[in-house]
Amino acid sequence: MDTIICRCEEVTEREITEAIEKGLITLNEIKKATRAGMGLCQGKICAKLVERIVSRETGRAPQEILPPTFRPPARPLPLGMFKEHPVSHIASAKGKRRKS
Amino acid sequence: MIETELAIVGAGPAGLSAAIEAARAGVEVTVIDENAKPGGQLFKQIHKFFGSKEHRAGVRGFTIGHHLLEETRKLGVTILLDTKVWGIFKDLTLGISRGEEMDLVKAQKILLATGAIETPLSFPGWTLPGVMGAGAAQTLVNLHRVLPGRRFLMVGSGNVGLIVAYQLLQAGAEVSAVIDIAPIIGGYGVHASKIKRQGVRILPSYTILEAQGQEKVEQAIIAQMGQDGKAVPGTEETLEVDCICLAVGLNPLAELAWIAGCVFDYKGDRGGFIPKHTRRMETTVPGIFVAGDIAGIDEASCAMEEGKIAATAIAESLGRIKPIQGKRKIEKMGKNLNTLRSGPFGAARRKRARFLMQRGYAIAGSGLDYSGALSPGELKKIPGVPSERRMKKGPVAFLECNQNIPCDPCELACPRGAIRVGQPVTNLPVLKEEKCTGCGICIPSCPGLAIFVVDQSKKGREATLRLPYEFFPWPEAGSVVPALNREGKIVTTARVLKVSSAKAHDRTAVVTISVPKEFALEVRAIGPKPRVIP
Repeated sequence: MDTIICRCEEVTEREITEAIEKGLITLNEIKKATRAGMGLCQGKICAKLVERIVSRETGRAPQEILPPTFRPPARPLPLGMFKEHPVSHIASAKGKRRKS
Repeated sequence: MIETELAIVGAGPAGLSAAIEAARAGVEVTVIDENAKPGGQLFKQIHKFFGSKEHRAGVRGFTIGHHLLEETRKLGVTILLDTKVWGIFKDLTLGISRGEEMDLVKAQKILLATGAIETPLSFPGWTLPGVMGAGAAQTLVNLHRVLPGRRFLMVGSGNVGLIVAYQLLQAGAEVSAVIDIAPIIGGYGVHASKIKRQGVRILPSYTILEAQGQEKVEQAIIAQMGQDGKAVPGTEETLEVDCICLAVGLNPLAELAWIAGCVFDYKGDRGGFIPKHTRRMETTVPGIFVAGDIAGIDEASCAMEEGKIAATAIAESLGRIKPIQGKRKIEKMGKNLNTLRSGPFGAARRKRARFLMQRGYAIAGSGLDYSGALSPGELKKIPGVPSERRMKKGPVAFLECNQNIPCDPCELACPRGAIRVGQPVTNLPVLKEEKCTGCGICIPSCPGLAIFVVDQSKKGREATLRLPYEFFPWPEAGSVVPALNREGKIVTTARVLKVSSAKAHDRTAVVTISVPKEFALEVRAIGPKPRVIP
């Protein structure tokens, strides 16, 4: 049985080790080749697992393995946000501003 | 566009503490959190925290959460909930969204207090339903009142693993075992002792090989770890469990700091890559500060202290407090933080253990490190345990604390000055046995539930024992219950004489039992723990 590493994109351990065998050893390269870390959670869970596999397969220390590049949006955003009037005013919207 | 002086991302212990500190100095603060409720992880922490009085030691985590919220309310701090921060742009602007609305927050200073995410562990079967983070299980049980399984395996013996295992027992579940790849227990020995004496097996140098099951977890296969870091063939054991909790570490949630262009340092013992920051908690990007787990994984009490330091530095840079005043405050808070971090604990301890193991040195001298239970020989050496002469005279306290944890509520609890911790706060509590009257006020004060009162002075065959007790329902006076030793083995039966709890004890009961005298030094728990699962 092959273990799934990236649950969002259903990438298995074998796919990742195969990518490493091809010479892809940074998390960014592996992400681009396999889609591991490209799903909904953006690698929040699997990046650490891929890092460990890279470390195990290549013998590199964890501090030499940089995380993949982070870009906005750092959280999934609904497409509706990009409709006609994308910017509203959360803090002044009625009943939305909570003074806690 | 929202304009604010200080935008804080994350309403956990670090963010809220910072908000309070900054608002007190007159800074206008906006806290943003993606959750529906503020408090971060505090509201699922139902145990009492360690530390000193200034760190709110002996107070349960959720109570601290309530205090912080109350304070932010009084100070008029704005908290935007259900609001995600999805971007951070130059000129200290945050992109935020709620539902399908988005907005920008322009701040003069930003504090990232985003916390951490649980470290995953992959093994065959880890994607089966029933495998989850220990923190996730804790959220389900303590916040949502849902028990995600009946019989658990806990992977990881750090404080998270030990505390969540105990809370699962409190919720009525069974814990089959707590395993750890390290050769010693990672968390506080007193936390280990609490579950050990309820019969939970703690297995250092063990790993999980596989989770098995058709639709969900039905079994876990564990095995012993060899010196070479691999499972030893022939040591495999199948555990019938329906839930596997992973407590193998935390990772700082630092995407925003990466996006902002902060320089990072690698600190393996603090969770990996963390934004480089000064003692004032400022990152390499001017105006962006960090506090809490994003600045390195640590206890909530440390997160609160870091939040206060960052807020003080921010208030000072905004001209709300004088530099000299700010400097003094930060120095004092820094000292507080160092106190909390002193002692031989945390990830550094594991690293040291591995180092010593590889070189064949003895790692630790205590049963608390290996099994979670003190041996009779060790007990005699602990400064909190009375002499045999004193034991015969009348009731007396046993402070079964032999690790240098930064904690001192027992010292404050004793009205007769019979317990001395002193400075540093990591000292072991010393019992001044001539001053101790065996009143038992100290019993519920210990966050580690490691204080007992034993009376062997009465005539007859029975000794009286007073124990801390945190399971519901409480046993009834007059009932006869099994009496367990430190290893969790039933050694005799006990008669329950009395169950008491004052409001100040915050739901920790003190149970008085009588046992045959020969077991007085051995019995440390009663059971079986009441089961609530049908």
